[in-house]
Amino acid sequence: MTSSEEEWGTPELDYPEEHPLHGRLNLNRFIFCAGCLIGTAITSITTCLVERGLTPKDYAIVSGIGCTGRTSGCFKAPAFHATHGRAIPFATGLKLANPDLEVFVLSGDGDLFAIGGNHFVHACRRNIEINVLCNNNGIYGMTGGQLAPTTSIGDFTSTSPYGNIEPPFNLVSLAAAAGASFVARWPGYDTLRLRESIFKAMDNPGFSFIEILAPCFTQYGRKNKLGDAVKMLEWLREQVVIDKDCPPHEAEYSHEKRRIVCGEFVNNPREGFTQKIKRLRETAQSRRK
Amino acid sequence: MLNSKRTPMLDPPRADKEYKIKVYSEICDGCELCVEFCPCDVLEIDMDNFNSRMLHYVKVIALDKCTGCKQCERICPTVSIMVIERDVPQEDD
Ligand SMILES: Cc1ncc(C[n+]2csc(CCOP(=O)(O)OP(=O)(O)O)c2C)c(N)n1
Ligand code: SF4
Ligand code: SF4
Ligand code: SF4
Ligand SMILES: [Mg+2]
Repeated sequence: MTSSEEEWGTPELDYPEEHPLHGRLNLNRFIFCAGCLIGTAITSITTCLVERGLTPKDYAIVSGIGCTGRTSGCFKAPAFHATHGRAIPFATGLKLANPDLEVFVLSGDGDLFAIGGNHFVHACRRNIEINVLCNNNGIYGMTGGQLAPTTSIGDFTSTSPYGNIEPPFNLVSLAAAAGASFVARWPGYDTLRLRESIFKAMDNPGFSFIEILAPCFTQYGRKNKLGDAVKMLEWLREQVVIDKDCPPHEAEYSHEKRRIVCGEFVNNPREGFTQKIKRLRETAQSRRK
Repeated sequence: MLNSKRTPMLDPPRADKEYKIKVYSEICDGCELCVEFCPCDVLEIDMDNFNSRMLHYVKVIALDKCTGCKQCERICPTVSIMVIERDVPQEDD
């Protein structure tokens, strides 16, 4: 039934010369290795924001340092390339100063959980209304493939040439235990489910955390002999188990056991930090009168 | 797959729609993710042409097989591929 290419009417109508996301993204700043799912995370967030009808003045993006840290440069919006590990404090300040802003943090596992781990647990505890997306590749991609707090036992990295002996953080369990009110984990290629979770994170009036599994073939893949981008996604897909009813402390994350449980683990909306501050301010002002 | 109890996340392909694929070849990295993730073998890397960054980009080889699932569009890390949908023109008698 499909008619041929030529029968498709005026080119201006069907082929917008201008890219549909031209107003949202700096398309020449996707500097990631070809096939790295960091780009997919950027486009997933952007399409969700577009679908919600938000314009660049309604949202802000904060990232830290690292390959994933470079994502802030890709957004044509208020975007901040914060110092290493400090994306969450920047985002907290933004949200407190302007509670109407939809604030996203998109950063790496090393940035959010090694140098920035302390900020993460306290943001969860406060339940501040920001959406944190962690691009978990289990390694420091940008700096040459060093051991990260998310590297599985036995993995080879440039700082663990005989295999890693430190147990990794389970980011889902950590976020849930620290008090995050929405927690999900998805492989980066599962774009439909990831987008559903991004919408839920935006709806959640509190701290939302989404872990995105996006293997780094350039560093992690090369040192562990796992092949190119496509082969590594196949490798990841074999380990992923989707279990939507799994409690967060049982959501296993282990490349060693070849089992990574994905799903939405916590969805427990409760009053966020900026709401509490607002109430506190009102009480203080009424007492002063 | 067929016995899955999960509700499908996408609407089934529609006979009253047809699809066209726009490739922004200048920003395509030729990473092959769309080629691998397309369930219907619609795409292929064009080994005869390359863009100004000397990268081979993706080309459409079998548009008639496309079901409009947009998996290629969602997976692409550089937003270089877009699926354009339109109603199948009604045959006038
Ligand atoms: C204060 C400080 N310490 C160390 C560094 C070096 N450094 C840059 S990126 C990075 C790790 C990034 O890892 P991750 O967040 O996992 O990002 P990826 O590249 O894997 O996406 C480190 C240690 C730095 N830039 N600043
Ligand atoms: S080094 Fe790794 S994480 Fe960084 S862009 Fe390349 S594949 Fe992605
Ligand atoms: S269109 Fe996108 S996914 Fe396909 S080869 Fe090009 S960059 Fe990769
Ligand atoms: S829309 Fe679906 S079937 Fe069509 S080319 Fe893209 S992935 Fe393949
Ligand atoms: Mg990393």
